[in-house]
Amino acid sequence: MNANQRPEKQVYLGPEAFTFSEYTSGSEGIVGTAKVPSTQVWRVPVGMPLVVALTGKQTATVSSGATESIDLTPEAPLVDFMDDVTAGEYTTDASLVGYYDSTGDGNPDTLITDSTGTQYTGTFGTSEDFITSAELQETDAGGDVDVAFYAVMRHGLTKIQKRNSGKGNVSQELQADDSITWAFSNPDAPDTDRQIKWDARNDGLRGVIPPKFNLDLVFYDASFATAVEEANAMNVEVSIPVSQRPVRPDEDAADLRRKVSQTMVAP
Amino acid sequence: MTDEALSTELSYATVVQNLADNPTPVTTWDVPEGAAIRIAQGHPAILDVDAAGGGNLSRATSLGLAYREPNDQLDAWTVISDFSIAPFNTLSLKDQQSGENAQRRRVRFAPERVPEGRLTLEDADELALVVNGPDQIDAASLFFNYPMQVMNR
Repeated sequence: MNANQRPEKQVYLGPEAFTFSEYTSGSEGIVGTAKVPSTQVWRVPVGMPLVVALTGKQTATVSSGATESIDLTPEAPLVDFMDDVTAGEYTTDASLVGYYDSTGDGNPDTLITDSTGTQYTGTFGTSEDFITSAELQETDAGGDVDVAFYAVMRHGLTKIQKRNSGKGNVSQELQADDSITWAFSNPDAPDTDRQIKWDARNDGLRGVIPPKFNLDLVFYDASFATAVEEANAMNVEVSIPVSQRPVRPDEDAADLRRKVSQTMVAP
Repeated sequence: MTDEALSTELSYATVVQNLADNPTPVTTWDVPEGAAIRIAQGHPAILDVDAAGGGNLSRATSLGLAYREPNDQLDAWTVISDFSIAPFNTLSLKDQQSGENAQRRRVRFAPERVPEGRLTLEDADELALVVNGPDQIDAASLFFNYPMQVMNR
């Protein structure tokens, strides 16, 4: 088939499509970037549901042989589309995931379940839709144990923007919402307001992302940071649908980039 | 012109504690340079707040939106809407984000102060969420979200 006739197809950008980077609280920063392949053009499929749940890290220590309740700051939202630790789903896909240091190397990297050396007792403190504390029991009695929790962000603002590459970096915001609205969105419930969909204003040239452009996740919060770049932050949930088609033989990628850049006067 | 959320999480939002029994701002939004924001009545607000020391705010508490123009006196906030804490106390943040229980949380503006139900705030204007009630709030627990439009000037 001629490339000219090849139709658009829907692709989903998951966490594997993004390069995640470190973030320091207090200013706005790019925490994830997906790059459009040099031979493809993306277009925003208006009305398709989006999923974005970034995670933050917090650490604590459990005393040797003790059973302790650890308060979470910030609290972890109970997210509809993720596993629920309070229901015994101790997986890496839960909205709250705990790791402990099983080897004593100072690196909490072993998943906590109900049967590990440091384990959940099954008691969690909750307040409405948030987990406020988790009770852990240290059974190895070989010294105090470091633990790390990765929880879905409840604070801050999360945006999606497109950005051109190279000199004269121009960006344009495509969608913005509070992190908590993203976390409590429900992609499977189209009849409620809780589904976040690609905004209709991204129709037309605004929604076109030419070859080599970037699609960024931008985060801002005054006091809490994300930890999406860490290897253990496996519960970052991103699913962004885009329509992808090859660059047509009669199209010039550089021309397309220039044309789109010129329309990108923020916001 | 873009649709955004007027939120306590914005970089130009300042969250402070109120004085009990005094109508005081708990969040102020200082409209950024080169921008204008427009809010319209009729949308449901999302709000979550605890009293200082924990627990719900008293049902006697009322909340509102107010604005202040550059040369107004420091305490001269013009209150443009007034709503009760009750529907927010009874619904969790997650439930408030469902369209099904929005009715009691829709914001109405006072018609004599905001004639067409739409208010545009320019650079250097301030918008505030004000609280009047017997309790002090826990500023760290406050979350407020209302749709707005942002325009470039």
